[in-house]
Amino acid sequence: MYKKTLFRFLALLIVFSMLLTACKPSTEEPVVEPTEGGGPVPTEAKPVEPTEPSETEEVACPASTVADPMGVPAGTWPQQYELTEYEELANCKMSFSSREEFHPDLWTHGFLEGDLPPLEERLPAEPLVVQPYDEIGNYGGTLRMVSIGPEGGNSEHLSAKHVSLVRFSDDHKTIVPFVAKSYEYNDDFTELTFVLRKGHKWSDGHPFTADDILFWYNDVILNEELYPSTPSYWVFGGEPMRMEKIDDVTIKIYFAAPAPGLLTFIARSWIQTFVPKHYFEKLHIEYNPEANDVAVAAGLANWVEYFYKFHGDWQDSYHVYGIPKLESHILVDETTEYKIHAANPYFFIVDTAGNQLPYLDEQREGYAPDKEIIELMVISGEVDYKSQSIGVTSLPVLQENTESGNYTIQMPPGAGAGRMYTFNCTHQDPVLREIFADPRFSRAMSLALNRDEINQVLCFGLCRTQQGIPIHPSVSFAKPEWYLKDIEYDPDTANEILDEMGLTERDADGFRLRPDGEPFVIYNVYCPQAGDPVLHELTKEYWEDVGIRIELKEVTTVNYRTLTSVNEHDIGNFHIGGTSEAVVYSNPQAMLPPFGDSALSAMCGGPWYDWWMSDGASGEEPPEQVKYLIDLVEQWKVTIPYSEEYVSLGQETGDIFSENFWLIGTISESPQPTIVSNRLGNVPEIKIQTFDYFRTLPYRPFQWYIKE
Amino acid sequence: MADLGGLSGTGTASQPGLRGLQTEKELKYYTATQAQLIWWRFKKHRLALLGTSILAIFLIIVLFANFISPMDPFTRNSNYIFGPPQKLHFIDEEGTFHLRPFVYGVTNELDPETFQFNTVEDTSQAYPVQFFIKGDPYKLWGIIRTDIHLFGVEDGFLHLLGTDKLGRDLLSRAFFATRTSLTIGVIGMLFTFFLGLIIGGISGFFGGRVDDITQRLIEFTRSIPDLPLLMALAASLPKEWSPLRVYFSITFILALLGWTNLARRVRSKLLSLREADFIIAAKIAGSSDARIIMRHMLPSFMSYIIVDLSISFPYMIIAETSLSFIGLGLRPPVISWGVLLNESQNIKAISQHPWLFSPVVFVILAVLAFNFVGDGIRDAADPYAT
Amino acid sequence: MRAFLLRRFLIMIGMLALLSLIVFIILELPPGDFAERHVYQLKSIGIFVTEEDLLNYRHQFGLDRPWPERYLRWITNIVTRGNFGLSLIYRKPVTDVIGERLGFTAILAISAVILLYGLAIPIGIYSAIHQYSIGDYTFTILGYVGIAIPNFMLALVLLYISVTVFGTNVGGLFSPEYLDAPWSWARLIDFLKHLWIPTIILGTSGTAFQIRTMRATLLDEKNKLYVTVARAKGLPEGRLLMKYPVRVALNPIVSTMGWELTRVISGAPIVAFVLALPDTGPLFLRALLDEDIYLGGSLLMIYSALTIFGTFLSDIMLALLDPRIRQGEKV
Repeated sequence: MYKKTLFRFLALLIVFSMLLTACKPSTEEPVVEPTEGGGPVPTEAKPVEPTEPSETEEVACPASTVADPMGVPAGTWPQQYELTEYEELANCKMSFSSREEFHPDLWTHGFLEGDLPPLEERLPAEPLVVQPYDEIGNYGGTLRMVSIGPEGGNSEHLSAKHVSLVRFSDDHKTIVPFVAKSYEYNDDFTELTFVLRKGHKWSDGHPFTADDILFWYNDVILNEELYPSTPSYWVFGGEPMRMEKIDDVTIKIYFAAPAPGLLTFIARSWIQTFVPKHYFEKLHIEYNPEANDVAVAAGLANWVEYFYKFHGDWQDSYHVYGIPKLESHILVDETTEYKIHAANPYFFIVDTAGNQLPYLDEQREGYAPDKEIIELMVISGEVDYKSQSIGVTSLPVLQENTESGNYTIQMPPGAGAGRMYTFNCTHQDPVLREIFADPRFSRAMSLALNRDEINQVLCFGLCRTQQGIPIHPSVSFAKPEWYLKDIEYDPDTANEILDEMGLTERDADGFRLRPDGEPFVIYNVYCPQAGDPVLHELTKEYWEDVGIRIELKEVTTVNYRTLTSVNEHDIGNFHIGGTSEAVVYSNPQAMLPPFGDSALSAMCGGPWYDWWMSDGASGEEPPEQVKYLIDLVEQWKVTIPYSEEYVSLGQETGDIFSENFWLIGTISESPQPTIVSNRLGNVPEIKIQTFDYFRTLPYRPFQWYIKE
Repeated sequence: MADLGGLSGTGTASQPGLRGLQTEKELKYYTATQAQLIWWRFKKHRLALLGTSILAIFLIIVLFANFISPMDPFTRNSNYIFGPPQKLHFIDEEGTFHLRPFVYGVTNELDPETFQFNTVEDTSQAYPVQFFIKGDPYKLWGIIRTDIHLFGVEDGFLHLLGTDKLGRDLLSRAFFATRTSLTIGVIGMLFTFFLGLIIGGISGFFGGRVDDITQRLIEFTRSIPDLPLLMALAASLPKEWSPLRVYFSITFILALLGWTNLARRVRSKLLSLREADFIIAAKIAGSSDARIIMRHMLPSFMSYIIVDLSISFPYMIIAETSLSFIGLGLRPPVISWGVLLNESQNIKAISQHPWLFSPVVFVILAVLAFNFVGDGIRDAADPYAT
Repeated sequence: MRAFLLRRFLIMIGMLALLSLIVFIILELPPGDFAERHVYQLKSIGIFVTEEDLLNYRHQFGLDRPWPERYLRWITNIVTRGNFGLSLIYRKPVTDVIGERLGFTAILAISAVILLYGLAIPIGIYSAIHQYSIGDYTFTILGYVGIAIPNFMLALVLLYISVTVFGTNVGGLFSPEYLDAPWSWARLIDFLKHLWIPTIILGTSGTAFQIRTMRATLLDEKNKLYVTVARAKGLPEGRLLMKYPVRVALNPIVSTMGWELTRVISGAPIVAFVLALPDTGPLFLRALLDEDIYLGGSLLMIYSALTIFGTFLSDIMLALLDPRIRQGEKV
């Protein structure tokens, strides 16, 4: 018998070693066309040809910074200038310089061949000039980062190398040119024009032109095989927007209805609105009839799946070397444990002294599946920047180790709507529905909550206690009274209201009975992904104190979703995603029934949504006020940001929420501890930590640097 | 066999028997039943005795969790969140000795700068520990409504193992967790036992084709790692089930995966016993199949089964805690060892609130006790033991 | 013999085929899919996602096709091309993702198994010879404590100690500066510094069971007649023990080695997850949790196939040695 297993053991080893040799990691490249140059691949860093000294005898430009503008007046946009604009304002002539060497793997893994052309040819004719925050940085160093995993959305660090046509500046209000040199709406917001930079190049040196944007829109977004339904961000007035090329650097977008929100969306989103046409053509069936065969040979169903292997909304949703980028850092090395991005030799931004950015040689992102590991890495000083997946509960440990870990903790607020509850106002059980739809019930439930204690237990008292409104308090038209209404802890009044509603009968344990004499039990079904379950344990206690019996049950997120999407839940308690100005404005779904997303996190009013979407064919007709709300939001969506109409319609929306108590707020989203290593320079104070403005992007990570 | 199996030497009054040399001790030894022999030998195994007494204590905890817990496991002490264990004192500030232990009043305040709790003992307030004291009301076994707890303090509070993130008494929670997890463990063990015994029994008794199929089934089950099976099965439990129902299903799932070892053991034992001399002898003597199985076969492999069972117990417990770790096992508000240990599974607990780890002591003690008893039985039932 | 081999081979192929189907079903069984998990991940970090995003993601991953179709393509590609599909999490071929980690999986597993037996066998012998001694009791208790403490908990505590007390880098098997470096003396030292925690945890969890087996069988053996005979012949006690009963007592230990190795390779994904080890464990757990069916399914297939193939090989060996099996007799 033992021999049998001994042999089994040996066999295992043999199989194992066979597997070992069989599965060597390989570089992934599209196999349509050989991309190798054929010549010997250089493995050493490529020296850059020396820059010719400027011939003109004009004054060199002042190295102004945000902290010390050195007398250079502000330009059109905060903290950045166009080249000619800066030269004019500072009365100087800028000469450019760059780092001596670029990462050798840009040649081995990438797309670079031979010697790099001189810097002048790599920069656009009109590079973007940015003012660093504190000082001109020095080249070099690695930004060490960590995430829980490689899929899109796990990594806030995407924003550290992201580029888009426009972006938000650090006031979170002004939208400034970025890849685009300028943008312009027509008067009624039905046309938007972008002008690109002449001579702008992809990271492989290929010119970046209006064609790359057209390809992205016409051949990717509008391709029905790639996107069976056009994502709603590109649809206005019921029709997908239309795009037209004026010349190589000018593109014009037309909308069927005013679309003032599109610019906001492009500025805040992680979606890049351009694709290197010269690279993706060969993967696209319309340009390469053999695209399907290639996909099948690679083991996939068709060209669509293969195309998505190289393309995705998230810039980290594919893991392939050699895709041309405009980003500050380019993927040069990746394993399942980490990935390394190295400085892009063709990056289009320079600092005020004419140094080509980025300063950082490399960005290294490690993966640690467990959040505890991330915390340990932070306190032992192995991480330069981290915010995502660090919660306030970690503060005691983080605070204790700031010295040994050599970091500073910033505490910017998040932009979520905070933890909220909804009693299902469209409950299937008519008795429960009548109770839950009554704003008095929600008011009683709100008064029964001891929010200060919740704040203390969940948030060390650092959150704000507030009422539930799907509009962030930082939004320009927010009324402070919305957030203060009925948030005091007053169980006596809560009891009175419940008695007044006729819920006076109680059972042997002191719990209230339903008006029909049946036991009144509310099931609070929750999933941990929606936030710390401790909140539910606390609210159970508060609500039971006023005689409302609560049963808790934890389920997986998928199960929670199924429950709410078919309107079978008693309580809705999932996140309402971003509610900051940029998001509510460019996508105001949280303000409409079912006050979350219809299928993913319905709070209440699912049947109303169905009725609305089907034009009354299915679902249930909502009350007049809800219909009015829907109209209101539709009107508001097309107003011009910060205009009078925008403010008044927005405020009316908020008032309706405040009145109807569809959402019961507890505490605001907690502050987001943000770890910034003391060796990192030019990182300002982060004012808001959220994907709504794409994390670090407003703080211009391309000018961060490692201090010596 | 000179050793009289740990027989205590109390029987001094020796009676003159038919054969004068025989003491009462020896007579007792030679006429003892198998069970008695095992018990005598078992008593010699000191760790097994220790294990038995630990198990007895656990049984008391399981039966009277509400009574011996100083508090309701859900009662929050909001003034003592993440409170460290209180020290039991016998000697007060003046140096006077008190026979009745007491605790001092404690405050636990959050430092808004460091976010750490500062714990200060207030020696002016002493609370003597009292027995049979009034506390949180509860229903014993769901019937008897009372508020008497085995021990506690009046007016103040008593947290001998400290408190958790909501200020709930960890000792009380550990007692309730013991009740849940031990029941799960034991029920799971019994499920495993029946599955293994029946499948292994059928396989071994019928042999042939049936045996072939069961063997393949066992091989197949064993070749799939437990974790995905557990996850698939646990995740496909209907979502409308109550936590209690989920709780029982999980034990059943654990058993569903754990039976293969025992089934193999039973089968091979049965196969070899079929050919054993004493069984053949019994057959020749005309015993019925049932009698052979019950009287001759079962006793001779019972000890192996017991050992296997005592090994499968930690498996049940660890599986429960692991499932809780990946969010599929028992979840709050159910209190189990897995749930409690999960709350300590973070850096903050290690560096700031190490007392959150205390429930692991219960787990260790239970695993030790079950294995000691298993060892004891094995050694006692081992026919070759000296 | 040839007929026997063919029969066993066909059984193995059949089992593998059935296994692949069952593996796929097990992974399809939990509700939801990778696209949904992905969308929840986005939602839970406060990103506003719509239902139509979910549908588009599902389409991108090809998950909108019915599962039998996806199963067939997956299994066909494995058989015809050795292509295990595209990992949904990593968006890379599964073979690349797994291949990258096989080496360390082997190193970890082998060092854990060495530690396991290096401890279990001598301790088992000691315990059997000195039955009921203090040493015996101590080892027994320590062994059981090792079983009782959940591995993932021990892992985090040891990791915390190694980071705060010894100043090791967190997680993985290398400090970042050595991750990509060629092998050198310094890299080896760095590697060993990281290796001890996983080795101890993976190794000790099974030690108690092996000690117990060793002790029990040796206890049975050492009272057998042949031992008494040898002793009567005047063989020195130490040599006598090593030469006969210990050898026999090693049998059951050796016979469970195969299982033990598989257990160490596949059975500890949670520990590997907590320690962020670069073996297949965390891949496996992540794949299961996020429903990456191709990665999870392939790993599951590999783990299970190792066992089945191992059984097949050992059956052949046995058949070569034992003519009765060859002729299809029952043993």
